[in-house]
Amino acid sequence: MAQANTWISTASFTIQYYVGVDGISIWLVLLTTFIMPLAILASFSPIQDRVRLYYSFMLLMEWAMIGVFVAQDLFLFYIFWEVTLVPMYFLIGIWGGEERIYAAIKFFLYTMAGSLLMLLAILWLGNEAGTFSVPDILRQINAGELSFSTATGRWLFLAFAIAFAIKVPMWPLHSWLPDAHVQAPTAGSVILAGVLLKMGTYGFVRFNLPLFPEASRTFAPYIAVLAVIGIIYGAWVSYGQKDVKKLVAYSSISHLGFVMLGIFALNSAGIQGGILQMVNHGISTGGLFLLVGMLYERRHTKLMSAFGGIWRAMPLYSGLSLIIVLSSMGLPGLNGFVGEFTILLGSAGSDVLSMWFTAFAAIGIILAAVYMLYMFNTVYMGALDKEENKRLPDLNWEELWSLIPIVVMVLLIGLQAGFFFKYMDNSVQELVAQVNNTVRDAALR
Amino acid sequence: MEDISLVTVVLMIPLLGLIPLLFVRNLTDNAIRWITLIISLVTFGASLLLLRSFE
Repeated sequence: MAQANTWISTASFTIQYYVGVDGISIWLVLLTTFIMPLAILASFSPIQDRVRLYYSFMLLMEWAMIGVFVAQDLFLFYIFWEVTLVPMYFLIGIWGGEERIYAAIKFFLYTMAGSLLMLLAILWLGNEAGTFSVPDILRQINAGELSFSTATGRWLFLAFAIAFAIKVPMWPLHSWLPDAHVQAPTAGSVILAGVLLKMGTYGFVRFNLPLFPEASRTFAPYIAVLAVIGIIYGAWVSYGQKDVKKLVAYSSISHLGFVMLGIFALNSAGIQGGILQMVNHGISTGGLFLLVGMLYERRHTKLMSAFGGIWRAMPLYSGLSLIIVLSSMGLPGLNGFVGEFTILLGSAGSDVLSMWFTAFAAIGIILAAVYMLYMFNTVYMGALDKEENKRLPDLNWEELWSLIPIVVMVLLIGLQAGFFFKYMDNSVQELVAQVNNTVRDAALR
Repeated sequence: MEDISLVTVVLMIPLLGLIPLLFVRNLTDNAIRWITLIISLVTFGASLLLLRSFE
């Protein structure tokens, strides 16, 4: 399903308006279009300043994010990738918290630095292939018309990988994320966690694996080490947080470590689990940031110690929170479980990763239960002994309608994951075959 | 050809939605909120059609 029109054509290269979806990108497009109305609805009450500008940035952001997921031309992809930086920079910088300028600049510089390496790799590839079209480059690689040395393949892989790893973010390139999340307005955090981080993991699946299969196999164990460190580090640091928004931010590093582990298991189960977990994380963590925002709107604090026993004051809010918290923990029957289970299945059956990766990653699941239950216990359970919390209003209609779709999706994916896997089956099989066949052909040559 | 144009439609709806926000000067804040929400819902609807045509 694609559309290709020549945009810029010269004797030596062609740039196309080439957009399309397959069984992988369709889920990220849907995730984007699902999250955006919720983020917009959640902005109705909190955003009262420069409303026109704010919502213009929201639509610009949606356009660019969809563009990243549908672009089939490397040049077009790069343009959309860069455009996403601009509205998010202003969303954090204008409507963010007290240290918003610092957080916005840090977010921009980190991503921009990685992007420049990717740009160099894109220019190199486009120059060699005479086109920036990914399907055309893949066809040239498969036909033996385009080849590069092992060392060149590894450099190109790393140039793309660093840009994507910053965006994910993988440990140790994650330090921009907590600042950006804590300072961003609620909708900014929802979009950041829900969609923007997935651009990094998607980039690995869309470009690194098929374009550089040999390097992917070579670097898989190293990336898996970073992924597992991220899983445990993110969970450990989450547990130590006093600020509930920071807790959720660090939990993203842990959850996305699982996604990376699944992708670099380099088999169908791992990659399918990774893709589903991208969607799951977008929904669950997007939901958690919505919940945190609702508390902040009422109390103007994000410190866990300021709350306690709020179930009694806000039963509807707390009931929906419980479902979203359990989904983030990976409780069986809810979406997070299916994703993490499939990733661990892929990791355990991988021929490039040892069983130790699965064993250490599994520790992350236990730690997730620890920090999530600790947070839930501190904020929601116990005695309602703080005077300010006794008259907290329960959800209004805007808040309710921004949470209900999240809860529906948590249950739907948890109970009907086969529906989602069915759509990605063919595309993932083709990707795995591309990785394995190219490596086999290279070995035969 | 239907499938081909649908990807572009999904991509372009938010961009087209920017036109009233940028050029219609007398919109109230509430109207801006609702227009943006409706545009994002239409985009979501179109992306569901994309999934349907994917079968």
